[in-house]
Amino acid sequence: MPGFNFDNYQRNNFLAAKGYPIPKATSTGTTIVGCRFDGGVVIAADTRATEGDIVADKNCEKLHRISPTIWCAGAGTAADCEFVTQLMSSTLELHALSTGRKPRVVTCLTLLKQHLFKYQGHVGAYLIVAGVDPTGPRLFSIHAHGSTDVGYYLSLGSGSMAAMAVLETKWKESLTKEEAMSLCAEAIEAGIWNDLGSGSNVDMCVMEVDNPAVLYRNYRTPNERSTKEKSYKFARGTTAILKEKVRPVVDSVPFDIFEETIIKDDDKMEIDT
Amino acid sequence: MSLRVFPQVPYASSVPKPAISSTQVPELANHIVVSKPPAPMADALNMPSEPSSHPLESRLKNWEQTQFDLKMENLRRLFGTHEPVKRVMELEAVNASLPLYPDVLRRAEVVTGNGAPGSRTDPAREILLGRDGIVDWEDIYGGMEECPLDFHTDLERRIKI
Repeated sequence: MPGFNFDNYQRNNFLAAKGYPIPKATSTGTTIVGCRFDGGVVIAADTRATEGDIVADKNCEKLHRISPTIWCAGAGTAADCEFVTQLMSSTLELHALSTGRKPRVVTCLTLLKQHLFKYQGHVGAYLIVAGVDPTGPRLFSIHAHGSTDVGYYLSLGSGSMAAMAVLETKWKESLTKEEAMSLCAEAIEAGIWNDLGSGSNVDMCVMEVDNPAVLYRNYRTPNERSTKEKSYKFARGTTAILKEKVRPVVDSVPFDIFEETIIKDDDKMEIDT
Repeated sequence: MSLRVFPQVPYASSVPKPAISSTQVPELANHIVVSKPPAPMADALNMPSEPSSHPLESRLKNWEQTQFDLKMENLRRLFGTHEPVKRVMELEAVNASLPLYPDVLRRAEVVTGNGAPGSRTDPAREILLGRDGIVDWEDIYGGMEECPLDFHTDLERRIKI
């Protein structure tokens, strides 16, 4: 059967009862934000992927496309976010084809929350869904258990408190597109600096009414790796050639035609004897 | 009849022990003749008909049935008994035609006979259940055990050549 497999559940319980250590839950680190402005909506995310306390990917992509005008930022289990959004992308496309209308963000939201509620949080996808549809710009957030939120500005993930602090301070009604973009970038940067699970760069996606959505990959790169102070590359010929032997690859060549050349260059390097 | 939205959670406090004695070895299926891989041992041990000790398992297993029952109950309250009866009869008709389908068209067997969702690949059923526009994990990740036989082997087996 596809999907969840419970074959080993009883075995794992038995092993846990015998004292074998069971894997602990790991917290997932991410900062994602979304913000509405006049005539559109913008979402942004950091680009650090963690496995426990290890940085698994320094420049991963947390913004997923659901439809050309609906995008989604994901926190939580990366694979769950990726595949749940791909599933919704397919469903929404089918839905759009069968109804002959443009997909709406609320449709996507309802499909997602119903799907996630069915799995009781075992599909660990925490999403900010944003997009423009015939009803205008829309911004929602969904938690893994299926609860949803509506707002003018939202943040999710372990860096959500840092990001929300910035959003609460600097957000105002009727932002322009540029203001919203810089606000979201600032909120993500707050997450990057103040949350250990978030880091690297800022990705951003801007969805405007009557315009195609624009993805700004690495919109801000505050953590660029500086160049090394010294170069450790050695020029060709730094190491002296002590011996050079040329052997033809072909097998059937008579033994006596092997060439053996020995270059002796005494003034270049001493040889250990 | 109830208006239950999600399946009841059977929190089992104990796990039934499979009754296999050491002298009694269950017969193994000849999977060369059947031309299907052997069923995993865990299926037999976990007893799929029994509620598992993991709450999510029974929830997922009974999810579609519960949703279907809820829909039928709502229709009954709105329009009267004839409406669910008609729908279940339509599903029964489709189910009755299922054994005539080659395996390549019906990947999963219909589990329950009362018109409950079972097969996900039969388009007629999907339309009747209102699932023709929905993509789920089962539609994308078909397990290896559901890998269909080729048409000729299927037909040979069916008419017993």
